Amino acid sequence: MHDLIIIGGGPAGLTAGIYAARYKLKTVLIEKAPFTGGQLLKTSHIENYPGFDEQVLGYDLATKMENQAVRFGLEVKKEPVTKIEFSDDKKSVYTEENEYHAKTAIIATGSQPRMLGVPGEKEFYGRGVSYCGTCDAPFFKDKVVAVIGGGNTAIEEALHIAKYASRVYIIHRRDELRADKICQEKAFAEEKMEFVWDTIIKSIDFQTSEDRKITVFNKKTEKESKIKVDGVFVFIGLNPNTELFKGQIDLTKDGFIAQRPGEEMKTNIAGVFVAGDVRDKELRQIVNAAGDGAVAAFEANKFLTEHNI
Amino acid sequence: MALALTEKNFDKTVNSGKVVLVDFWAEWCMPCRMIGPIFEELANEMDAEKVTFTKCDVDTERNIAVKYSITSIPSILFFKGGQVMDQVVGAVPKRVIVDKINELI
Repeated sequence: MHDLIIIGGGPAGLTAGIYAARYKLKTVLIEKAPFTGGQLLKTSHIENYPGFDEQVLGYDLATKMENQAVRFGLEVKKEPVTKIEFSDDKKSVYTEENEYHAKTAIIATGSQPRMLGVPGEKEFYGRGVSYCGTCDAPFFKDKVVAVIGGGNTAIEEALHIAKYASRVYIIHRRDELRADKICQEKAFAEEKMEFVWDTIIKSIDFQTSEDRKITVFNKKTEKESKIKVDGVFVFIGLNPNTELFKGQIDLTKDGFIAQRPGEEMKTNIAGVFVAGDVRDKELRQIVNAAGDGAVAAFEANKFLTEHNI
Repeated sequence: MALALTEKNFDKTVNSGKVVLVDFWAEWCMPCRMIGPIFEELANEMDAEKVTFTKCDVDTERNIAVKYSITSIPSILFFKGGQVMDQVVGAVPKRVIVDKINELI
């Protein structure tokens, strides 16, 4: 029996691991991917995480977080979780290979890029459709690319893509960006960028290598048109990874994990806590994912002490 | 060790009759750095008589990447008899790769 099971090895889970290990809780962290880091791994240069006056690579930050947690004694397993059973007394987590039982649990399963849900998106994933500028921008050297979205991620990634592409269309459903001002200024100053406002994407057609296009719809003029592009990058928000918890843990209508009002990181089950992007909150950043992880570990430790278990 | 493919040995290798996995990667691709070791593990664990593990650097072998419309990496193509039978994009769990191989063997 463990004291604590952490599900998910992104910044929230790893930080919870660091704190829990330092509380000397017998803790196991279970990550579904063959490596930890979560969405950090999709980020090239991180500019807003405190302590790095120059940029830090997502990959490097992830590696450092895991090494730090392991140094304090965290046990890390890389196995996809298939089933969970949470009760007030016992938290059980099943993977294909093993089962784990603990007195407390922290859910830090994060989220993943939301899909557009338009024709052609699935079909051409990996063949022109991408959710990771850092990974795929170099394939679009001197090519024309559309970026869908208007938030920080969309604009930061678009700026990265513009280092390679000859032209970048930013297709956004509103008439202004949601990205922060520094980001916006950089984007407006970039000559390769072209902004397509009030517009949504209807379909993607990359059937042939010569005739590649997307169909878009302007919500104000109500006109449909086609834009010739070689690739589409999608950054329209996040979907929570909460499929496993349906029916056991209270979720919001968007599928994020609800926390008990006024009670930090606590879910509807005693001894089960939540941390990071999967939690119902507004700002989803590395820094507050880490913050959530620390609080969740603190609460788990408090729970164990208070219940004397 | 996964065999490095170039334009010289690509066609011959994927036409071998075995199931052939090609891991498209690049030096600058962070998730590729993570799938690489898993790919090597599989190459050691699985029956070399039935399945061949190879890798293809998209920077040096640009023509191959273009031929197979690779625009996201890591991407693993599963060949049998020279035909692309399946593809996975992104850094996926080892189990996903194993299941796909077993379907093809």
